[in-house]
Amino acid sequence: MVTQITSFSRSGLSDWMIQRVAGVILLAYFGFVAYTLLNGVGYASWKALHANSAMRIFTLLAALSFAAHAWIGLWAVFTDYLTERMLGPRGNGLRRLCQIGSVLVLLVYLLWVIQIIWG
Amino acid sequence: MRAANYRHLAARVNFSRFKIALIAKKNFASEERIVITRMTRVYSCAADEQPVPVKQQWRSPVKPLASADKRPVNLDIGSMKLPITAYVSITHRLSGVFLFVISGLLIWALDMSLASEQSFDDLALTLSGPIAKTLLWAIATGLSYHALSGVKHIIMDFGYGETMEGGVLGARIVIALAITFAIVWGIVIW
Repeated sequence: MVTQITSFSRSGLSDWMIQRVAGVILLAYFGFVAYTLLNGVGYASWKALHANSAMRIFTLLAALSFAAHAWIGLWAVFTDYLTERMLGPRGNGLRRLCQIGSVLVLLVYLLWVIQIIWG
Repeated sequence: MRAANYRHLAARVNFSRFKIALIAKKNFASEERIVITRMTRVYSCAADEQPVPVKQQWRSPVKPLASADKRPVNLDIGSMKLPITAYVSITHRLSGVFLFVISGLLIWALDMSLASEQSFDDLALTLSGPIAKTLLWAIATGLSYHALSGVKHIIMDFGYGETMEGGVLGARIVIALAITFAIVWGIVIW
């Protein structure tokens, strides 16, 4: 048995559930943002919307969901295609590099959103 | 083979990173063998042998693309005609990777839009250019496609449309709706 140390929650079932819940949250967030933008926004109303605590929490929730959703999704992609079978022995190193790199990028994105919303 | 050696081999199997099952099998009282199976292939080493590094001993049952191995391939997916469901699945993955790559731009846009009135106007000006509009359309289309096929995933998780016919129908609905969204985004943006 190979122990998976790069999956999100160390459990496939838990990853599966988090992926879906996060997906629904992201759908709601982007649906709301698209609806707002299509109705037309100016700087004042856009700024006021994001000063609202409920919207700040919604945005942070979406950012957290994005980080988890993308971590799990990219894990599935990397472990399927960046493998020793597909790429030879270098596949293992490349996969680990991509996983560490993508997780770091996701963490930076998350901190960036927090800084924008509450900074 | 002694118990200590089993652990030795198990550690090497873990190190090889292949998803294989390690089964310690006792055939006779006097002949203990380690058996490694994956799909239909079975590899084993006798009890009195020193365990060989599995990383070198074990060979993939499907021909590695990046090796000079000339043995026949058990399942060559490139030789098959893939169903529409396979294309929707791979496009879901591609659009997901695309959205991950592009998400930095979206956060940058959020930052610009909230930093000051000046940066908000700058962003609006930037987004009115033809390249920015094309990129915006690609992001909106990719996001709607990923969301639509994601919703299909969840519907199938609840047990609907899990047959081949249901899967094909679901894939067609996703493509039809995604094209509709792409056209609508085009109208909204231009």
